[in-house]
Amino acid sequence: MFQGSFKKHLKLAFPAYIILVLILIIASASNQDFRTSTNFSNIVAQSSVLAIVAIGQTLILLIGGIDLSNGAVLSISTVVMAQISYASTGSMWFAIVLALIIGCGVGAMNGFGIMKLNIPPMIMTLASGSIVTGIALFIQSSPGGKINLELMKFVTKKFPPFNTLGVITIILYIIFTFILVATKWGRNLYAVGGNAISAKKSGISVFKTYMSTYMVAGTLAAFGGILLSARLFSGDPVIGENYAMDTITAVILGGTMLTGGEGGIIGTLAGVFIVAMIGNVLNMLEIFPYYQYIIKGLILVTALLVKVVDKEKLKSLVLPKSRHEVEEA
Amino acid sequence: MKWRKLKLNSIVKYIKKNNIVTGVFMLLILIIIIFAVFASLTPLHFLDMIRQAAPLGIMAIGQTICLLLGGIDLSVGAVISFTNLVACATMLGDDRNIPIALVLTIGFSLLFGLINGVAIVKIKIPAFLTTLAMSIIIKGITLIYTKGSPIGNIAQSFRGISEAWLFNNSIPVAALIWVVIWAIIAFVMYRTTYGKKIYATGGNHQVAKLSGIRTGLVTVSGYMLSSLLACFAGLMLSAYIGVTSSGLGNPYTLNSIAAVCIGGTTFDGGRGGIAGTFAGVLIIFLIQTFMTMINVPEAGKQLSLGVIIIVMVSLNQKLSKRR
Repeated sequence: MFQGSFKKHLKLAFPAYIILVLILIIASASNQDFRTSTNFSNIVAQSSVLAIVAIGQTLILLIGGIDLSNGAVLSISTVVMAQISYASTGSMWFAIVLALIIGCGVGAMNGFGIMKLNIPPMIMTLASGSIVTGIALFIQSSPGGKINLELMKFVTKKFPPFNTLGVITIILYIIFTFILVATKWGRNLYAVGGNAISAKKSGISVFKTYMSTYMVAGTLAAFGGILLSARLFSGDPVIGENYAMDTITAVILGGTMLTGGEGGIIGTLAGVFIVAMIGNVLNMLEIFPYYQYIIKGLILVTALLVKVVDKEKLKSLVLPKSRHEVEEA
Repeated sequence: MKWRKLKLNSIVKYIKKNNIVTGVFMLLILIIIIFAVFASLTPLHFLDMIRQAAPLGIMAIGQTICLLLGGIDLSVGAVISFTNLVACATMLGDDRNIPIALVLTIGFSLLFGLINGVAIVKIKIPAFLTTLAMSIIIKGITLIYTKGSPIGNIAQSFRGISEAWLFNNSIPVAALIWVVIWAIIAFVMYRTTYGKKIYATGGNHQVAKLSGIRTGLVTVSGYMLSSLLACFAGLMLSAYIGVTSSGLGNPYTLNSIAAVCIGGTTFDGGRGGIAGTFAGVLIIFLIQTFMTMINVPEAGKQLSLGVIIIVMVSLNQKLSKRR
């Protein structure tokens, strides 16, 4: 059953890769600055943080939840880095561990609120996002601060057409693909997302699955924040404003279902590149950059629209045939 | 004697039936008393607070309707910012431009609401994603319209809807507008078939449809109403500050959700009402005023909003489970 669902995910992820290739072809055909290796490495650097945060969003959508707090977690993690990490290597490690613990803690809070207090995931994460943003603004009310120089040098190191950020992202995607395909925890995610009641009956702890998934997602968002702060050499309490929306768009573009139980992170990677490249491509085509907001909104709606239409098409294709088969048998 | 007993019984019954709303109003009265004692709150001061709370109060009515329909409207903040920018850019401080500004802002807000509703009903996108996408799109439109640098200001006579006081300076106009809008919508929600249809659609979509309610139409109209009320709130807020301010509406989305939560409206639709929301708005506003008085920065308000939402929703869930 599981291998089948992975194959199905690859099928669902396919359109996203086609769109990505089309965008790449159009953009590189229309502007020669686009096809330079510098620009490519820029795109990789710009999209890698989004890609890492989007892994967490994918896992959460797989179990049928949603996370609107990941942007706030990312922001507070950049703020923590900007406040603590500059002094020495020791303080850098302290800041990194602290940021990851905060991310994990927010995830635990989300999981607990959703499972034990019965709060709908959307409201719970909206509220916890507000709390975390509040704390981030307490710590540092405006963009600024400094990041440890060694960390910054490590993160921004370039070996065209790649860079450290790209390599970290690829390693994380390989690890999480392995986890989703080959471990019991990964299988549990699909089972809980597909049908929580039957998953519970077959002995999977839904509570533990929710808690662990939200904790992993929170930690990934915090990790994304650490990398982002090192790349920008500063912290910003509201830098993550659009991350919830962007990650959801990327994940849904990549073929993961909002209803849970179907999808995976391979498609998410293509979705992330599409979302992250919009700004870059518009720049290259010399279009007013603010159009990217409208385009992003439309992409999300279109992706959802296509999926709904597809589902109904599938039904109309499958149902008459099966009915026919039933009558024949 | 008998009559009196009967009436007492019906009051007790009403309180039992609406225990959340009663609780909310008691909480409000408690907070007002605490305020009156510790911050020496005068009636004038209180009226001024109501005046400032009016925009939130008006938009929270719309949010309540969306929640009663089983959805949510995350685009209200963006509608407020949009209204503010368009109103200022078209008025340019001139009284003669007021009608055109009103037509533009109200027309656009109805359009946004229509798109929200149609996307939710026809394409079956979850309400929060539709409205989230809508808020980003509206933000984009706002930025493109202003090219990043907003211009203009509100006409002087229009500022009256927020600044003026009627009846020998005893009643603020803004509070009057809020109460009138609230009364009209309360009448519609509690005493007309349209109101019943909203409750039925939110409570059980399938049953409502089978009993002949055009649920699609009801949902679309609900989102249009929410957007329209957000536009009114935006106009009033613009009149209050008098100039453009990018991101003016940002905090209002969460504020309105928190106010509705406190008012006892649940997220699964069909339960709650705008009676509780009225008190919820005042509670939110009093808490935030109190925070300003004891010098808690903006961050503290945001933090408290999150905590309030979590506590109130979990409380509501527990109460509705027990029933």
